[in-house]
Amino acid sequence: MSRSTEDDACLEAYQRELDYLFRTLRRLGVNPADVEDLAHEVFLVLARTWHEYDPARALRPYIFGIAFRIASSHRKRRWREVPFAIIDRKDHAPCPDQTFETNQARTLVLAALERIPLPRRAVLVMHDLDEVPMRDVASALSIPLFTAYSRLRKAHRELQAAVAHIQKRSAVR
Amino acid sequence: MRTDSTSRTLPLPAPIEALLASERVIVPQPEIVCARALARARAAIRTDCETAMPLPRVTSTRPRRLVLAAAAGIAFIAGAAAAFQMMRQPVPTTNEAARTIGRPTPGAPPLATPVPAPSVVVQAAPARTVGTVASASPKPGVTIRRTVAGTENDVGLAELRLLDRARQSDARGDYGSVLAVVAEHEHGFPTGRLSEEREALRVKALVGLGHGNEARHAGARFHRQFPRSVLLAKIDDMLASLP
Repeated sequence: MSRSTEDDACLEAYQRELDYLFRTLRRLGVNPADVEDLAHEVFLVLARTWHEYDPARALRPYIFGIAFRIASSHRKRRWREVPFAIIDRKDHAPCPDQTFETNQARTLVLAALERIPLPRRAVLVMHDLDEVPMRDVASALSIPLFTAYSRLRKAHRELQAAVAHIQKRSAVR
Repeated sequence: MRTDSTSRTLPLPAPIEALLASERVIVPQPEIVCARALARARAAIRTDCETAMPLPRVTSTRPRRLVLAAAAGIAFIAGAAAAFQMMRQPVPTTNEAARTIGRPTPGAPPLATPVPAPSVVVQAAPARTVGTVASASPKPGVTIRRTVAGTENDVGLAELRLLDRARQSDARGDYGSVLAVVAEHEHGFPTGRLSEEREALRVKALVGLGHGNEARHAGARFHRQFPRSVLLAKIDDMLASLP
């Protein structure tokens, strides 16, 4: 395949999965202000490694694998940076085409996910939200299948605890 | 699709499942955000094509050798030009040794890659002095090299300070002062590293003062002296604004 054809295919795939990528980055704990930049970083990696991608396999787990690595290195970078007075826009502004309850539920899920460490959160997001089979989850994250399952079990427990905690706190208020 | 995990993990409680179900829906991003992201991606691909694509196409070693030979030739010429410029430029130092070692030696190693003239001057001089001094007297080599580098930095700083003054005057609209500082720079550093910027400032000041003929002459001279300058477009714009 020629270079320009590869580029076009990669760009098309990026365009198709842009919404998914943005949401995935949010689920992985990336601030709304950084999502666009990180999505671009994902694209750069995707374009560079497009020849390695097997079209017979699903694209989303492949993109998720890249997004997870970029989000986790971004997280490490952010911890070293001194935060300035940048106030991140919260993601709970109601969308006109959504009911208030749905929006609240989505906000609650994101807040609960924030409380789960990234390696376990990645497994949970991939499996429970993106509905990717565990074998593919393990492959995309380059971890053994057994590890993937143990992370998922623990993530489930943490998710339940986090949801309970957030609901309790909001009930007190 | 998720049937593979049911045997190994406990199912989530119904309320949590309901929460996750609401999060599974992917809400489309605003069109402007998508357009921005795609424009960035396209620009990245274009840049990548312009810079990286021709390199892997080289299959034979012969063209590569030709390119390397050309690069070495250009680097040698650039080094020689830099040395010539250094010889002509007055160096305000009392250290005679430092002055003599600034001259080029026949066996001077050329630079590895062709670079623009100003950076050649900065990089080439210390490399040359190391070779010369090390062969003559190994011990004082370090100090002399430092003196030359320090002198060069001093000269560069002096030039920079002068032109900074000119720029400040320019920002105030005091074009008379700009011309005075430009003349001072020309007197002190006729072939200085910042002579290109100086001449551009001269044209700007003359245009600002409304001296059309002089500005055009200065512009024509600038074209002759710096035919590949990035400031040419600006100079032309300034001259075009003259009545």
